Amino acid sequence: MELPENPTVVAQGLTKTYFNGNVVKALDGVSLTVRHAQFSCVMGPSGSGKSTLLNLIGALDIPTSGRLTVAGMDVGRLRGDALADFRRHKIGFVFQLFNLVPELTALENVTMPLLPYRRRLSFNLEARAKELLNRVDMGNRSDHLPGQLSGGEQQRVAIARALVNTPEVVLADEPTGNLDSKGGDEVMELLRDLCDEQGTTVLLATHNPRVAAFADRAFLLKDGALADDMSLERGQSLETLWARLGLS
Amino acid sequence: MTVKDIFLGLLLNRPAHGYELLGLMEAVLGDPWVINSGQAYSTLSRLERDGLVVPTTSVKSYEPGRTVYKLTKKGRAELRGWYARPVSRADRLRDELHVKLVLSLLGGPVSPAEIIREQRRYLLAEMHGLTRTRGLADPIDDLPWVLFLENAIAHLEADLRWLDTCESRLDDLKRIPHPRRPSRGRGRPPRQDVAE
Repeated sequence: MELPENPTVVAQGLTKTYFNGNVVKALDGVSLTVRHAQFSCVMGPSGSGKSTLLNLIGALDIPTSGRLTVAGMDVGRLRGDALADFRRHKIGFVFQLFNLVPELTALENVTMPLLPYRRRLSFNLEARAKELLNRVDMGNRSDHLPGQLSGGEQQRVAIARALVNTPEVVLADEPTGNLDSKGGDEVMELLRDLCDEQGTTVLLATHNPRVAAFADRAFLLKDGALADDMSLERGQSLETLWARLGLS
Repeated sequence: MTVKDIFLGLLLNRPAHGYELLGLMEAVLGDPWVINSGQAYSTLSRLERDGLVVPTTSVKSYEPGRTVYKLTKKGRAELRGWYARPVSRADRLRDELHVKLVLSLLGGPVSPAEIIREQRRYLLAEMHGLTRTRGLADPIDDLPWVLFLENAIAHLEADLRWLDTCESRLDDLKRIPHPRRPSRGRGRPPRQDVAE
């Protein structure tokens, strides 16, 4: 497999099998690469293995077989402190259900991933969190509880939280699944802009082509295997559309 | 729908000459509706010939030498009729992708799965381009343009959902026997009005 320049994620023959009475092959020999600062998506129907792939890349789970390198680290072999360090410094997560702590304010939620390590940080954690909240247009709601925010606003706070440790990779699992299409589009534009600005590599899992359209590359999973891998760059889409509509 | 219908709609609010109508059309509807002055003036001539608009001298503020047009009663009725008619989608009945898929099931050089895969790649890439363009537009100042893009994106989403449906039914489709040519007997067809 020829590797592109600066691959941040390299999966080779990745397999994950679960045993729950039956043998369930959630991922079946998936090989893919994601370049540094690339905004990619993993598409596929429910049960295709998208979430499993993201969990393996984020070291939330261990592969059954195959090799997985993320930000230069062999993720399948990480244990103990090395594993905790990897999750803390290299990865940011954005989940479908936001996963904000209901008893903490927006600002406190954003600081959460680094709170136990604040004394060792070279920057002021609250200031960083406030800056990120401003960046996601939630600066004036930083003292609100999640219950006082709309779904879209909660997801913005979740994005700020995912970026507080300036991760190399952001993993987003159906980030707009609980939002209406307008809210979803706004969240996706924000995620895209922020990650482009910071040069963050993004891999998001979705079954929704409207969300996938924000990515530059799409990996299509089907029954745990990689069914397709496509670049989404398109320069002439408008001209093509106008011709198709008979307007040119 | 043609430029004629758009001109009637724009003239409802106030009379205008051709050059103004060109600018108004672009300002209100956006880039896809940029046409040249030749087309604008030939459209106005046809509208006048059909009794739908008429030159007017009642508006004094325009530059001399430019003919200003206003709607006639017939023009207003025509415009009302256009608004009242639902927009037909009959052009979609002959969908090329549907035809390709069906023919490929009968036996073609490319499998239905391959057709679906290529079409999905194309549609996703189109959607990517349109999404980026929509992101660059101002949601307030460019609203008509944004709505146009939303229309296009919604159609692409529908097409992609249909592809997923076809892909999930491919095995069922392959099991359906090939249709046979209706047999035509020899000689003249029997008369149907023969009394017993």
